[in-house]
Amino acid sequence: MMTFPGLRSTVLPALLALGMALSAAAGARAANAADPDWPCVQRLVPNLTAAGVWSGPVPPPGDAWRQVPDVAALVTRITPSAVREEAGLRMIGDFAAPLDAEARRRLLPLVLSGTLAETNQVRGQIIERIGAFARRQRGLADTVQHLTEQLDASGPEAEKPDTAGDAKARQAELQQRVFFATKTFQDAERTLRYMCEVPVRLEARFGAYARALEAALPAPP
Amino acid sequence: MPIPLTSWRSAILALPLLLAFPLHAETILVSNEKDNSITVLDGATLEVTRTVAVGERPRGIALSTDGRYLFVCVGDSDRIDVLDLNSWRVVQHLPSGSDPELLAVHPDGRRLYVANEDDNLVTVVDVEQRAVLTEIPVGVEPEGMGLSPDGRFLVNTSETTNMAHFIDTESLEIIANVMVGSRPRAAVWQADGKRVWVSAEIGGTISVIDAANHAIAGTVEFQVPGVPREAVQPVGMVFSADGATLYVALGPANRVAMVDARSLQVQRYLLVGQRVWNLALSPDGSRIYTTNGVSNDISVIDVASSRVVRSVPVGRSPWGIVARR
Repeated sequence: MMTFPGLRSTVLPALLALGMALSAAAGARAANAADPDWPCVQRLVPNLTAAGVWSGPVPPPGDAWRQVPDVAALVTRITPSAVREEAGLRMIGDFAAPLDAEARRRLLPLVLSGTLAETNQVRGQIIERIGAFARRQRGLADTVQHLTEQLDASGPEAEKPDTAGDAKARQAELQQRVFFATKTFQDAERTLRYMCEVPVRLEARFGAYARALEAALPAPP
Repeated sequence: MPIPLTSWRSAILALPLLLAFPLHAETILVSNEKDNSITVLDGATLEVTRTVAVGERPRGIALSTDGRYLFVCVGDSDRIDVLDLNSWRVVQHLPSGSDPELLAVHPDGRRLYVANEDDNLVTVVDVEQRAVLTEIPVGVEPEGMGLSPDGRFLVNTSETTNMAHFIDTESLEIIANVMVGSRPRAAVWQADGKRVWVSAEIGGTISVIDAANHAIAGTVEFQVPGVPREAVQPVGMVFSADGATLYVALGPANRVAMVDARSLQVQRYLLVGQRVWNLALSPDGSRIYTTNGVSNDISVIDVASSRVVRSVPVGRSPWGIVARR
């Protein structure tokens, strides 16, 4: 039989920490009772809008932006998740610099609509992944709770001095499973906190792009 | 702002500048939730003059009644840091109970009322003794803290219970619980003490509560053209100096709403930075400052023209803001 020296001393603090993590998760869920698949602190806003960040002319709807190759190329370069805000802003600056007032008035709102559509696309995928992750965490939390109940129930039996080795071995195995399930849960909580930052980062980058585009617009005639 | 006047000519040239930018001999203080710091800006130049390190996760901030100190709720450090605004050093740590988020300073200058989000408590702290005086059990996830102008009543909002609790600051009893919109955030009293305004982040409304009978006197609703309903999240509020207009931060709608305090109608929406969270009025009443948690900046609203005149980058996730002379 494998033995886990010091397991008892690690299981208890781990369980206590798990309790806190679970209650924090429960708190976040309570706050988002309408959407249990959204574990992040801030309330979910599924789609960003142009009106949220831009007071320029209403950008052309649909995918008119795709019809202008230069615009489509710029949008494709600046909207992937990995592109840093500063890099995207530089590309917008380089795009706008040679344009005359008429071209700016015509093309920059198109860049905005393309950036909005693509950012919502990327952001939506991440929101979906966060939802799937949150569901998995709920399943893990249930597993830990179930195992802990089994462990509690097995305790008195295994503590008896004349108990056969079976009960003790079963308890050791349960402790081991609780320990690893707890650890998996906690590691995933950290991942989830990081994932929750991604939609915020994309929102911030979209806002910065929109402000740069608006600043590059010529004054209204 | 010293302006060298070498001749009448330069004085005349400088005059329009002075008119456009009235002298703001004030200091703006911003808590940066993710940077564990306070950003200090000069109101005259709107430039960052220094950044001061504080404890972990600073959110709610408030000035001492004499204006010498800034109390900073540092939630992850489970305490309140006292920042000396002359030496720019944290000179004291006050006990606060667990995870302090927001605080209110009693007009007596001694008592602080702190919301402990994790423990469903309001902790009362004595600044001079540096000790917790008492703890008041309230609803789940206490948040907003509004003291009546005379200090007799505290209104604490509870995020999960959707209530505003009226607490008598002498007896420490809850004297009324008022149902408000979903996930209530800030509670702000009118200067005349007659009504309390409570913002609801998820409800997307403001409940106006009559302070005498604790009845809902009215509700403010918001509709920002082109912005979906769920992005309109009212949080921070501040009254204009004359009390006629309430400015409301609408979170990820990236707007500040101007609400007529008498008719409860929105007069205007101003586009500011992203996820506008809290607001401060400049001491002379001429400006409103906003913290924008996603775009990591503050916006400056000119009250006279109702225009956003500047944005200034600060730390990461700016949250609380105050301005002092």
